[in-house]
Amino acid sequence: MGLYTVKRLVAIVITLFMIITLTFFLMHSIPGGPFTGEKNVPEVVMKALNEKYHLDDPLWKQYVDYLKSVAQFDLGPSFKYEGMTVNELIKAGLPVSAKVGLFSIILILLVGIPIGIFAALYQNKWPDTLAMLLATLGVTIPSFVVGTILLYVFSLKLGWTPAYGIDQWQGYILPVVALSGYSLSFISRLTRSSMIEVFQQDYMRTARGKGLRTSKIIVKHGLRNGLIPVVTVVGPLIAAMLTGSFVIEKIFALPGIGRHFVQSITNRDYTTIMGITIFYAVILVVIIFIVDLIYGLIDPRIKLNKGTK
Amino acid sequence: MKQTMNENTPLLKVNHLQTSFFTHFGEVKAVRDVDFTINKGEVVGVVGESGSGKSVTALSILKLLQHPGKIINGNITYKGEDLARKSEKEMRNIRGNEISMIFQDPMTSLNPLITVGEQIIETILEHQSLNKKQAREKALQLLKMVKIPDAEKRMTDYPFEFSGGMRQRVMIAIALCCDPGLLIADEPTTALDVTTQSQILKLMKSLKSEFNASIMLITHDLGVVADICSKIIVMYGGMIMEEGTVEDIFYHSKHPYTQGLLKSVPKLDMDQNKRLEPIKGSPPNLINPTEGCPFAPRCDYAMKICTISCPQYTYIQEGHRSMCWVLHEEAPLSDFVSTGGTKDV
Amino acid sequence: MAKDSIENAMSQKRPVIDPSLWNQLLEIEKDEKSLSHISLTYSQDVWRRLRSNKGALFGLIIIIALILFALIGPLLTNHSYDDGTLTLSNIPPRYEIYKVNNEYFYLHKNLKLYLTEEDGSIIKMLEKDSEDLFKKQLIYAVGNGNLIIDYSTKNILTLIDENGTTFESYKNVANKTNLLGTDHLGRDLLTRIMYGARVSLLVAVVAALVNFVIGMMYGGIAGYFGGKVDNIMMRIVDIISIIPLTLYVILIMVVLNSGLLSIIIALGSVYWVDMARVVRGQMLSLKEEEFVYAAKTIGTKPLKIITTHLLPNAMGAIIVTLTMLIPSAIFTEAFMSFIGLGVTAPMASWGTLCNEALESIRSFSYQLFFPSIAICITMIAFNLMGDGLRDALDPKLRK
Repeated sequence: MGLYTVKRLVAIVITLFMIITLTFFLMHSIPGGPFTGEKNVPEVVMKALNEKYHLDDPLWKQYVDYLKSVAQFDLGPSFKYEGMTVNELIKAGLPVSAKVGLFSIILILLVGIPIGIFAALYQNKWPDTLAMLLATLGVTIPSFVVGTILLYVFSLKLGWTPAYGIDQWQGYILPVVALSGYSLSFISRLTRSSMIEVFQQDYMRTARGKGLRTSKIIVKHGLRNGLIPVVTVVGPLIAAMLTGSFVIEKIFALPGIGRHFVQSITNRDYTTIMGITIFYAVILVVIIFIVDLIYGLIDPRIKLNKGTK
Repeated sequence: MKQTMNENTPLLKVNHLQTSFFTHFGEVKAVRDVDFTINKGEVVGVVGESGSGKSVTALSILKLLQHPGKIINGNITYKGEDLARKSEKEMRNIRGNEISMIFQDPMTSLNPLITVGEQIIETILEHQSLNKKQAREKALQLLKMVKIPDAEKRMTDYPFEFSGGMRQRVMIAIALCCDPGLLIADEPTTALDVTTQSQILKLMKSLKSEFNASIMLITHDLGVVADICSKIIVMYGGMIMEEGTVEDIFYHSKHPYTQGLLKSVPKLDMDQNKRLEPIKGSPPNLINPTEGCPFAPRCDYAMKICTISCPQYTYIQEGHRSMCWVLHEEAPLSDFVSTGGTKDV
Repeated sequence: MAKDSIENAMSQKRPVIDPSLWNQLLEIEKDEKSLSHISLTYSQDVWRRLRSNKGALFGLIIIIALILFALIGPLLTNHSYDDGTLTLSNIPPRYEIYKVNNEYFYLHKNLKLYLTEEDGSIIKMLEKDSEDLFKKQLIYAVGNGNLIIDYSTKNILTLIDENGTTFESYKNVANKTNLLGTDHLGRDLLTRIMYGARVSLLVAVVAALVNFVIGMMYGGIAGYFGGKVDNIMMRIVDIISIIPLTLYVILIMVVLNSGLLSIIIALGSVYWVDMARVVRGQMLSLKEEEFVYAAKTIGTKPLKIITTHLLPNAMGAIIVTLTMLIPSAIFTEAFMSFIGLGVTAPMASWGTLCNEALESIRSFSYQLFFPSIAICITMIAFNLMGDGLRDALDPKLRK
């Protein structure tokens, strides 16, 4: 187990290094980008950039400087907002994004997985058909369409929820629903198909043959096996939610990181684009690492196979 | 339930059992009017090729059939009580407790995420009023009894850390943990290699006397039944073709199918130059089966009547019956009967 | 029981059986049919299951309709996607008309008065003759009288005559000039959605092709050679796929600047990783098959083995992945356009249409709904088709 963890950690560091390098050189290749030393940017910003990365230095030195500061969690000054650093921008947006994200994850797990199990138990009967019809719509309709339709119906037409902002708790409802829609549907579909497959396994027949209670058969023997594939998609789902937050925060005008990111794209705020990309990369890599560890805990086969070899 | 039992009533009595699967292509009549009995302490072998309805019969007894399978007709009496009428809840008390089952593939029949010990313990806790510690103690004893080396340590191991033979031993331990009256073993050795097969059979034999359980041993391997069974049931196309003692079946078989089976098995004293004779053709399609004998299309002795209607059982002697038109009193003396049914055997 | 039966059998007189029935059954008389199981070839089976899947059929029909809509649609309309009449901006697909002296008028939310036909086609926008800023009224000289728009009450517009009598709306008609209405620049929405369909389908086709070629080659090489080559190539794929592909596309788009070509390049440069994974997995299992050993034994070159033996056998999985990637590419384009990184104006994409409409969602929600519905239907059609294909091609589900 120890060796496995170390190996994963090394892989993480390499991955992050590659991503930082990639974004640095991508941004460098833009004419008028932050590392080319062009002068049509505000004086203050130019000065801050120069101070930070010594734009007259050769490229490799700028690169090393950038790596060094990123290693200290310093993402440098914003290219467009005078006197602001990327760190400050992230810090301002994080609470909002994190709250919406967290509520969405809770909703996904508490609703998506039970729906999947429920549908599997009622396979091919009407509750299953209905749930899977909704879930299919959920995975196919893009989040920005769901978001705008929710906004139009519930805020503008019915007036049940505030249209913009999150001053009241009701303001969270629509963004959370819109953000979790895809992942929730995906998880419930996956849980269903995984559970159905598990139900057909020989060991489930053994469990029934042993005379165990139905609830025990489903929970102890079925669910744990059925959730293994679900655990493996948590990483990609968090990633989908990150990108989903770009449009959701735009639609509902939430002051989160996603909206800063979209704004920085529109403004060509290159250092912010870089900084937020790296920030996202770190979050994802850490989550994937945690998921890997959980996976090892759930499935004893993983621990042994990878740990001892 | 364990107490009220007359010495003479059979332990299990299956009567006119009919089981079908309702598939896209139509109703698959997997078991068509099967009846047999298993007495206390008896080891009954059920033999037949794949698709003959052996496993479905076993699953029907425990009512473990899954959609789209369904028992259409018949009753299954265990210790004088009709299982067919029991509720799911009552059946749970019987499964793993009164009647337990060992499945074909030990590699997939154990839950991969639960330790071997726990899989035994949970069965004990379900059916017996023991606390966790006692149940663990009992599970350990069972593992020792099925001869798992280093049992104490192996309790906390996962199934993937066991070999196929060892897993089948674990399955046997689970099956025996509540002292069942009847043990149904569905091809328990098929998925194992030959040496392991004989070890498992030996183990079952020794445990049989120790636990005094009746065994219904399902197999397609005649060699296996010859070894430990007292009675043999030969199934084909969802019906019982012939039933009798090991001696009846092996030396005085009165059914062309049984004889075909016997001819396809190699024997030690066989002439080196003699070839094994396979039964030509493939098992019958059980969707809309013909009115006649299911074996007729593959039978060397088939007569016109065989395709028109199904023969009734002819009782050769007490406990030995065969379902074949050749044995009918009006049937012309055929090649089959003249050789006494032991041609080439 | 057994004894009883024997006695019964003895005592009962069995029915006399027609002696001819005791004749030996000849080989040819044996009913071989009762032995044969229903068996279908793989492709028959796939087609049977695809056909019986209503969702997949529905998806297929929608996709065909969509292709026709994108290809033929623009030929049938007399509007252009990039040129609108500003006087005809923001006109919805349905509106109320008023009847005044046998002439028909449409009063637009933005204080505009249009002369229309009874059937709902717009003739022209009328110029106001004067405005009474004090009474908050716009005055139009029509025929021999005046028509007045009164906007004194907040959020309510009324059409009155000189005497102050309010006109009741005559009827609700469908817009015959612009079937789905116009956008904020007076461009025909239906035409723009048709061109948007072209963009979506083009993105889908190109992304799929690029995917197909790069993904298949990459995965094919990694899987076929295995060992170190495979290890290095797959680590690269692992690293790429940790970050959502959308994020890469955004980064690449930032570098390349917006535009249709950029989006295709951006999609093509990273969207092959899933395909590469799938193909590699297939290669790894297929290359152990006997027929590959046979090909190697007679000295077939690796590239030829990959293209003639391995890839055709992996086609099922490849097609399924492809059908999943197509909606994903369409979605990504719409997503990019929605956040302002997609095709550039005046080109229309469903994403840009949604984005433009978002600003006027309160007043002109129809501008948002039609492109949204177009995206939804397309995504659903491709997904249903993909699901159906996956189920049909999956050998595990064969019954």
